[in-house]
Amino acid sequence: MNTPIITWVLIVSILCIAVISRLFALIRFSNKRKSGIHVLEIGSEREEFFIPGDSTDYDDE
Amino acid sequence: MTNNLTITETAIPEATTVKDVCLFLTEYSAWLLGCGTTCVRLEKNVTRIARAYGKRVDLTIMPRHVHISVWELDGSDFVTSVATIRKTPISFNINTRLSELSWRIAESGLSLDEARRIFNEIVSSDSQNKWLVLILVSLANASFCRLFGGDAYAMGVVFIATMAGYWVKTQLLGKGFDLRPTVIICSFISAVLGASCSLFSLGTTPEIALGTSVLYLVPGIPLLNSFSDMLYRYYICSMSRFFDALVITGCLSIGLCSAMFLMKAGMF
Repeated sequence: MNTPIITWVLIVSILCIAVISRLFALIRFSNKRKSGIHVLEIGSEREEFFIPGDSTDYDDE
Repeated sequence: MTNNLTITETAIPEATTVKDVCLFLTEYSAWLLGCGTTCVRLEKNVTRIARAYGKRVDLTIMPRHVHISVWELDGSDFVTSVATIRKTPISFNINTRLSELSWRIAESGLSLDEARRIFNEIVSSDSQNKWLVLILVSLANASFCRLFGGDAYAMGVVFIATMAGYWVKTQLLGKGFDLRPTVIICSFISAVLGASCSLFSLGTTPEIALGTSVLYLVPGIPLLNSFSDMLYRYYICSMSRFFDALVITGCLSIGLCSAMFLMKAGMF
């Protein structure tokens, strides 16, 4: 087993995944701010059953 | 001495209570210490402000707290306040501007309300472009590599290794990770990437690339402040800062040694 090359590849892969996922999240966040209206969206249960007047404090986040 | 007299004469203190001055100085001290100032600078600034408002001040600076007692000059009234030192990144910008504020209070006799307004403005407007900082830190570390005799390959590798490590550091600290494990992780990542020169036979100075890839994590300011505090006989703060720096250096070494062991580089 060539430990140095495996370690190097592992670290670089993890970094690439982290950078890409952050970029993806950033793009998604900026799109969300721009558009505001979504036809399809994955939301929480709270968003579906929210009644105006409910407390907006989120303890579970 | 002449300077002190000038300050007392030019300052135009309005009717400020001991309590108001004490509360302002407590917050001021907590921020100034949090931004990485030395104890001697804090004491000078705080004394300057208190004198401008016609008060006397005594300070006790502890590693995580600061006690301030403000007195009327005739000793008729006094207030003591304790504050926890702010946990904020080291910022020379805030540091300098808060020192300037102390001089403005002393020389142009700012009212306490005005001083408080400027103080809030200073501490809330210190925004730096994180991408610019990332590039500048990486360039600085690559320059260190060159100073130690690294070639162009080594400099390029150190630039990338620093960029990756520093980016991970900002991400982890931003998510509330403790500094110590963060430093271990970042030094490990930077050292693994810094070993690219030896792994792929790039250039002639792979050992310099490996050694300098983690230099950005060295706690230089705590070490310098610790030395300054020792010179001015603030021994408790000096020791505290020294041990803090020592722990960070230890974490850096753990990450570096683990990477060197896995990459079969250097002494392993």
